[in-house]
Amino acid sequence: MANQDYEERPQTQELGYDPNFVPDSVKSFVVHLYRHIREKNVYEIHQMYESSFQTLSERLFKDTPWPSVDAVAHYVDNDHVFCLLYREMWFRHLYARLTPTLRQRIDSWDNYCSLFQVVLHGVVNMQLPNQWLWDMVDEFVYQFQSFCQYRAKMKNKTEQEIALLRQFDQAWNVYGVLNFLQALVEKSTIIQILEQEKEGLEQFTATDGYDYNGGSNVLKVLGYFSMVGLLRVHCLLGDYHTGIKCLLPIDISQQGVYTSVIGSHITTIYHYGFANLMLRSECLWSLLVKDSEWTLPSKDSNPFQALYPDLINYLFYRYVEAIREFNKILLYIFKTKQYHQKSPQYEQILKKNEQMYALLAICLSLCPQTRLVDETVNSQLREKYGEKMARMQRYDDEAFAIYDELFSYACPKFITPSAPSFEEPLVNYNQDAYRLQLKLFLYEAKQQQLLSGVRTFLKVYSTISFAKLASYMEVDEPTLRTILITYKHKTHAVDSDGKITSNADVDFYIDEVQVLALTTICITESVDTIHVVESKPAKRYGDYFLRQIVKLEGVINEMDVHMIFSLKEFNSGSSPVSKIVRANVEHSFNLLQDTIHVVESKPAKPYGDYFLRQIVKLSYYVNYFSLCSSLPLSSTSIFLNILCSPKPLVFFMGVSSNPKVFLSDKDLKGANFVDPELGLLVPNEGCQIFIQEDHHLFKLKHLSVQERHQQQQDNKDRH
Amino acid sequence: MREMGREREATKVAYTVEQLVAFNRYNPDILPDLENYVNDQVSSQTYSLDANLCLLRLYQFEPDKMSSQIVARILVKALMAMPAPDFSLCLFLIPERVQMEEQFKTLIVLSHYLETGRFRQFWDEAAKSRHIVEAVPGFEQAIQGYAVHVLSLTYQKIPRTVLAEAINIEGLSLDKFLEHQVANSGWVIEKSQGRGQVIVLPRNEFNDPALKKNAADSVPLEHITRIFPILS
Repeated sequence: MANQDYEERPQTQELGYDPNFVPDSVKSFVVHLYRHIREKNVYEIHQMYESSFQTLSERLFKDTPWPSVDAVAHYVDNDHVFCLLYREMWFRHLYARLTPTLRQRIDSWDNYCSLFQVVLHGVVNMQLPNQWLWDMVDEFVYQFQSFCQYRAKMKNKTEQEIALLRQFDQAWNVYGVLNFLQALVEKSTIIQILEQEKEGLEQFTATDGYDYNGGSNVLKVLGYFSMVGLLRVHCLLGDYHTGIKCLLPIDISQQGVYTSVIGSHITTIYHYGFANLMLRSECLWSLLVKDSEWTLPSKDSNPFQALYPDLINYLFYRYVEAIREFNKILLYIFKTKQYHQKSPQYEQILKKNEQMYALLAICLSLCPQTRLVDETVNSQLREKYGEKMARMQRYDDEAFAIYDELFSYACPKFITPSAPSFEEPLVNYNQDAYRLQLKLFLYEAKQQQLLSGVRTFLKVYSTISFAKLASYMEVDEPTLRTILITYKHKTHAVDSDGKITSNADVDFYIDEVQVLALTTICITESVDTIHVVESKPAKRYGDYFLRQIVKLEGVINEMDVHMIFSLKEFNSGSSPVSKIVRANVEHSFNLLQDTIHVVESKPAKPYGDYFLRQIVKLSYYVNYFSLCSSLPLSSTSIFLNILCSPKPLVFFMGVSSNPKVFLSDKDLKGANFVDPELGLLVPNEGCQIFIQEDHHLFKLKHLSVQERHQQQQDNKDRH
Repeated sequence: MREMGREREATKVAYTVEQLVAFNRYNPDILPDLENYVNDQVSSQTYSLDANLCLLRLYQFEPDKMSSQIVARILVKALMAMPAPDFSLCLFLIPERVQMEEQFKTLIVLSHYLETGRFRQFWDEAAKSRHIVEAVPGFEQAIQGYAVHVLSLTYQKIPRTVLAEAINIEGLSLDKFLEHQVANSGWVIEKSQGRGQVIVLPRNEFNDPALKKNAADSVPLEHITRIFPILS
């Protein structure tokens, strides 16, 4: 085998470059990278991985591969694992810049097998940046997808290629791919780790998956990202139900390790949202219960209840869920994309961004729940797809052409996982999977589309006779009846307990003769009238406030930490600022009554009161912040979670998700910080923050009173 | 050799199909177990979407092993799970050329009628394809259950004729059916002038605005947890 390998490898003359020539800069790159990996210096590894590798690629290897692994191996003590990692990057670079040959595709598969086997056997004792680990999983799935596409184009394959495909039928085999991902999930025990973390027995999310006790993060984090990998593979196969199940251990309503890398964040939400779109109206809750029914006989011992207690508490509709998640991520990208401009993933980010707007346009056309969408996202959406969305509301061929267009643009690259039959005449089948998914999607879209007509009328009428509605819609009465039933069916989901949830924006009922609109629809059919009972628009203070709070937190997060402010002065109420704030607070107080009412309807604890007080407290600070700050927002992508405590303001610093970006000392001077370990703030002392590079943790140094005073003086001068 | 064979058999017995699907789902060797399990579901009138999806996935990986008869049974079972969208979940995994087979085309049409509330057409079509649907016991009852479900979401009062059409029961059998529902599900039969029987369906939040809970005013826990970090 090996011999054959070398024979096939083209010689220098043919290639136009020498695969064994190692420029000095590359030598220095591998030597340093190797050293930092040995020293577990995550910060430096990340720097080299993210920027040096890109810079070198750009400068020296624009359209040739990096030097072969054999040529660099002796600079790194022939370290087995390092060579596997190097080759992984080598292939990734090749895939990104050149077209891999079949041989190279197979070699890359072999390399992944060796690499994952090493990881699965627990031999790896490294600490690698999340970005890199994510890229491995991402690239693994991408190369699988790329291989399936390649293999499916049988028409122009040479005999030699076909022979290779037959010989290496295990390369990128779908079972192999799924089993590797599954093995990483299981072997890493990541599901249990996440579970235990909820009970406070384990730390994973809090440290972004890094291990600060001398262990390795590689298996754990690979296992974690493999769940996202499984979601993606299942989406490519059209198995959305299973895909979403693979992601269940990750609570995507919260931040987590998956949000620590922008690529993983986007991939997760894109596929999750897409799967939900295809699943239409299944209840997530029912999905869980259905599962558990056969793993366990009694409901009391439901393991899923134990595993996902918070998930089981709410039901949601797929479209609604997709809309909600797309909205969240699009808003996030909108706010943060400037920070990623230099990232190698920037183009990919923009592309996924556009695709998700298209998917959101589809979702909203099928299920018009615009209230779930933030104004920023909505205005972007209108700008991009406003006109198309208006046309999608109609029930005609043009509307479906647009559904077709948007779906084709935004869908994942579906694959046919099975190997071709080499005996039959060779045909291309790379479009088969895509065509099937498109067809089934349009089929559903057509059924849904019928309903938009009814919706329009029900919005206008409160009571309408059957005959009249039928004539408006240009259908006969029996057909109208089926449309109304369809409406009910498509907007209501039932879980296995028989519990029904509705996602209808307008509803109705039929009593004997009429259709009565409920803001929910009901039909009264006996004298041929439909009553549409219009319900007054419900005031949604709770939701409104929640959104405002989250928004405010965003404001705070973006805020520069430059200024010092004295709380004493503020609390005394003497400053004009605090008067304004007071006025504002009173105002919110009244509005908040509604929220209290809502929250208090929950069990025993008087959360309402608690929340209210916290919200008021928060708004104090927020108002104060926004009034005081005249400084430009700095480029911090550090996430400061600001906790407002009753006494001094406390800044709580987490570990930065992106070790590249730090606040400079200058930025941090003058703010009051609390040591996260001590949880205390010494009010009269400032503290300085510095970064311990290998763990990129923030440490605090207390400043003396004198130093502190000097700082305050500086600050005043600046103002 | 014999020893080993026996050992394998022993482990096989130890695992239920559900466990196989949960822990060994990407393994082609469980395919025969899953096929048998489909037949079990048909005869014992049980249902497991996950096991069936798992089998369809294995067929997708190895199309040569696909059995049309098994696929048809899975699809009929999925129809019976209406209003759940199981039928389309299955279709996503079945290659288009397989879907072109006559029996699958019929099933797709049947599903379309159910999805769009066209019960009369559904029952007419089902009558023409008895050989497919009658192979699965409980089919009619399951569809009737679905029909009653959507009708109770839609109607407060429903004319007898409309109900009869939807559940495909008439005359004396319908009287019996109604009697049963009156006794067990709170249905009421009314005579309306000159218009025949009208059935009053029990009120629920979906067919009666008064019962609609004001969901708009409640905040899901999920949302509140999002602001926990801010509130402390």
